[in-house]
Amino acid sequence: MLIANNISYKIKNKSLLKDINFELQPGELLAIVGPNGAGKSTLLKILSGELQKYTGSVLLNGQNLSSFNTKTLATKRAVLSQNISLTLPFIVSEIVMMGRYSYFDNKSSMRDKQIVEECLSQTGMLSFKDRNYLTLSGGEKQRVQLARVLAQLSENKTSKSEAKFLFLDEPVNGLDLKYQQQVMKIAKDWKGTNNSVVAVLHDLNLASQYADKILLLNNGTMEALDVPANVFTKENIKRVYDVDVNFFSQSKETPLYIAPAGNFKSSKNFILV
Amino acid sequence: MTKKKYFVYTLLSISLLLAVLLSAGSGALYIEPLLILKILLGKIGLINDLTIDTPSTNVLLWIRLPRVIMAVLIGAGLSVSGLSMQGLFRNPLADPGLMGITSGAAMFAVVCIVFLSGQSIQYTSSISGFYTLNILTFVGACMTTLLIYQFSKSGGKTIVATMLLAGIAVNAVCSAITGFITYTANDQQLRDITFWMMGSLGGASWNTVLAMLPFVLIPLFILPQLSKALNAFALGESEAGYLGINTKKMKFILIGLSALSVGASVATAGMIGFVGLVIPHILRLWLGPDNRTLIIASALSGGILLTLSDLLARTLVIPSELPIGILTAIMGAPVFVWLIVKEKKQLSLL
Repeated sequence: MLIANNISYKIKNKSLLKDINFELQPGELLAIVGPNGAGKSTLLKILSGELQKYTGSVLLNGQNLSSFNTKTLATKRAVLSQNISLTLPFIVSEIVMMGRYSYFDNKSSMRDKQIVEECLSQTGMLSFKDRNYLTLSGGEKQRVQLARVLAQLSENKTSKSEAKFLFLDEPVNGLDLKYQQQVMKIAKDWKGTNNSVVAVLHDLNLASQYADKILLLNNGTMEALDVPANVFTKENIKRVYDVDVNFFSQSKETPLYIAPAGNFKSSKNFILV
Repeated sequence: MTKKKYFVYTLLSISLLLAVLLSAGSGALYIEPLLILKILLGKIGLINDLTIDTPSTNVLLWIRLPRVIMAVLIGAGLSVSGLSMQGLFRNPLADPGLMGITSGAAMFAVVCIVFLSGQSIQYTSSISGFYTLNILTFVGACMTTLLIYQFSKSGGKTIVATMLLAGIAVNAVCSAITGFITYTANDQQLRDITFWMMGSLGGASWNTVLAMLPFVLIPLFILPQLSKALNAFALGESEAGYLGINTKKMKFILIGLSALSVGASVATAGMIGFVGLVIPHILRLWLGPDNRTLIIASALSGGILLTLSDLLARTLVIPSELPIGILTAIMGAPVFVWLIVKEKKQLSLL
């Protein structure tokens, strides 16, 4: 379980985040959404332990985040950042193996190698394992990085373990429709019923499709925290993004589709709600 | 990979041994490789061969051998420190010479010695004298690296252009100070300064070898244990942190270790450039960028390169001697240009 208690963060008297509170249960995917500059990435950096000078506290499975040592923390949570730039020509499997670095001293075990292959095949990149990372396309690179963070959270033993946490900072940035869906689906499958995912997303539809909970941020404060259907209302979106939207749906059960008002009309199998 | 790794180590070790035998045997007095082995074995008492003549023994033991061993040590130290700089700055263009770290180290020592004690930087012959010099160059190297690292970092990323420009700035300041010292120097000091600026192994003796040994060996023992962390650094500082690496500690260790070997090599042989750029680059083309293999391979290859360069420096213009820095620059500059051309596209994006 992940608990954020009264998190506030300031840089030189400028408040970037104010009184953030939430709880994330095992098996939940939380999407952090909000306009540019709302503090989404800052919040993610605090939750993942990179920023330390905040007030309030973050608890991972009941233990205060600041009390973890770097190496133990690396086995509990992994972070997929945006824009990872690499200038050295590492091969794909070595990049994914970096996810295992906190598990071995000098020599990787057979199990580590097995995990690397499993994670590569999970993201559909197994056939690329001996390729030079620098020669891959943007989408391929992102899937390799995803395999790396999955490898970081894979257990050595098969026994059931404590809940683990995956933090994704705009994981589908620059990916085409197919890979957007694929990446989100991999994250969702990975969390199962035991683990949790926190993802910063720009695409409200992707958020509404995959998230169990939405945290809507605006100017560093929480505007709403609830299931997608309750957060994504015309009023909320107008207030936070200053955009009028309409909602479409195929049926009562399917997720809502959000589109700017005026641009899209309902059709035979897609109705304005 | 492991099999290949040991094959590479064996191949490089044998080449290093051959280079050492060749270099130790060549010069005004030629000594056969077999005779070298005989002399060495005789010295440690394994064989008793009365046919060994004394001139060869003396030349080998007191002139050639310390010099060759120093070449190996300096070559190893410089290329390993180049490798760790490239890991720290996350760029294959990082090199202690280009970034002004060698000249920073040299200048710090020169300024301390010349301006504070009013003496010239002649070859000191006592071990304690060498240690003082080593420590001064080490401090100078540390300060320069830290300075350039702070300059070239922005938002967790190294800006390559800033890194190289900061190197130019440091080199400019150093050459201004050198110019000033040259202007006021006497004959003996002028010769010393030339030695600093162009590099030479001419001052080698068993004392200098002993004095620099720990400075080169400590990084060689510690760095291989950090090779995983060095690999992870390639993803970026924050990423390495997420992977469980204490990045702050790691940065200081890397700066300290590379300054140790750069400092020691500057103190004993002056400024020898490009070794740290050329060796890791060629090895990366051959073996890939995994530092678990590269560190030891770099140390061995650096030793080979500098031993052979010193051999050329001693024998090309007999009876005189070329500064070794000129030779490494002639070999290294084309590789540097090649790297820039190759990285042009990437550099413009950074």
